[in-house]
Amino acid sequence: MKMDNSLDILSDKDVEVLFAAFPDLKQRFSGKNEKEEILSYMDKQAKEYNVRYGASQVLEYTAVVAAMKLRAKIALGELKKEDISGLAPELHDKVLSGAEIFKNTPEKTPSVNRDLCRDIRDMDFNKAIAVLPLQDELSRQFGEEKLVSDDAEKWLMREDTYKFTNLTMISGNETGGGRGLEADEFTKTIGRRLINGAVEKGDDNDIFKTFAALSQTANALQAHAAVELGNTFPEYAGKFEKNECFFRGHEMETLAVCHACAENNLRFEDMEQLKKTIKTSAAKDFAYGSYAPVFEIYADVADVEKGMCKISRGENSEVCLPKDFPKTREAEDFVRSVKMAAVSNNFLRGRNNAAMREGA
Amino acid sequence: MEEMSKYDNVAYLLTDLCGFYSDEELQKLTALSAQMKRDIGFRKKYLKYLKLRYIKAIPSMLKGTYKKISFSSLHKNILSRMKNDTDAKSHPFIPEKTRC
Repeated sequence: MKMDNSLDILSDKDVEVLFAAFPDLKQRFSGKNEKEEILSYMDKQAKEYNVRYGASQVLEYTAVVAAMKLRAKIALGELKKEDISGLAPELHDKVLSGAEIFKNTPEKTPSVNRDLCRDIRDMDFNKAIAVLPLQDELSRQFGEEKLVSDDAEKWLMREDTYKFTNLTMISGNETGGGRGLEADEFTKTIGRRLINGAVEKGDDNDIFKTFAALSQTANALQAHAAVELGNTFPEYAGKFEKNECFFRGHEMETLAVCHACAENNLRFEDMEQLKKTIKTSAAKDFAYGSYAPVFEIYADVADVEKGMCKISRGENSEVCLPKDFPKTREAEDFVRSVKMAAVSNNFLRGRNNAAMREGA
Repeated sequence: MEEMSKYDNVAYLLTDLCGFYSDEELQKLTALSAQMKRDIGFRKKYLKYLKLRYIKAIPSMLKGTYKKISFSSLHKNILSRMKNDTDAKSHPFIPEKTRC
């Protein structure tokens, strides 16, 4: 496992395959020292999103998305030979014949959501990678914590196993991975995931459907977070520049902090201070723990099967504010920690300071 | 806290109606939300047309045939309807009800 961004993680051929999957990266990095620049960019993104295993984990997830993009092309009946020219030659016939069968039997696949497939096919690198923190956190909760507990077997027998299985497949845990790639693994990973996806059965591809659901969930959460940010901190609305990926990668924490601040009339001196608070472990723990348990935000199986997804957190509430937000113990603890973070950084506005100290 | 109907929740309605959001669209969404916070009149009017659009989409959503649209086009459409609405109200030549 590689923990750094050493150049041997990515071969020249891998770069070619990466550029084919993400033309936006080609536009950005094509030229001298491209490997170095790509890995340094991935390392930066990993730090920004606070994922555990740096550039190699970002690269692993990139391979997953690249495979999903090819799956989307298969689902749309658009896959061409040149799309897979970078993959191992022994895979070509299998993938192409599977894609051809799929193309000729559309009646078998009534549930393909073509719009969603197009979205995934056209997904640029930053949009794809913005799902990584959500995936990382979910796979951490589903994978590591559940599996190491004593009742792992009992837990796995639950009906949620379906979701668990697919989620770990997305994260790479089915191969003992999810912790980054080693040298010479990028292109192989794409090929393996493409074949694992049972191309002959078209959309009966659990990994693909789960990825689609996860992307849509993340997208919906990001939209909710953007609305809440504008609503709670209108003074920063003009500052969300195009390259501002931060809130995409911290959508759950952003929602939690926005609600805590809205409820308690907390303000921040500037956006950097707000971002600092969103990045605290308290915000993360609360967002993924008591605020929105993962099963409640995760897509319903029925919707996933339709290639659609809906965030469920009880009728009418969606991912928005839980109606008992200020009353629960966890909520109170969380608000206190946000206040304390604000006190220690001295970035709350004057009029809140007294109330804040009282609360803290 | 007062519970909000899902039909008054802009984020909910937009999430159901629109597909993937680009970086620019998320930025627009943040700005839109801020504008709604500042201008209650704007919010009411925007929500009115957004709800109309949502109600129109409900049958196809229930059938599972609804095709999500981009936020940019929806936003543009709503703003243009709002503009026409204002124009219509303030138009000096709208004929009064004619007598029978």
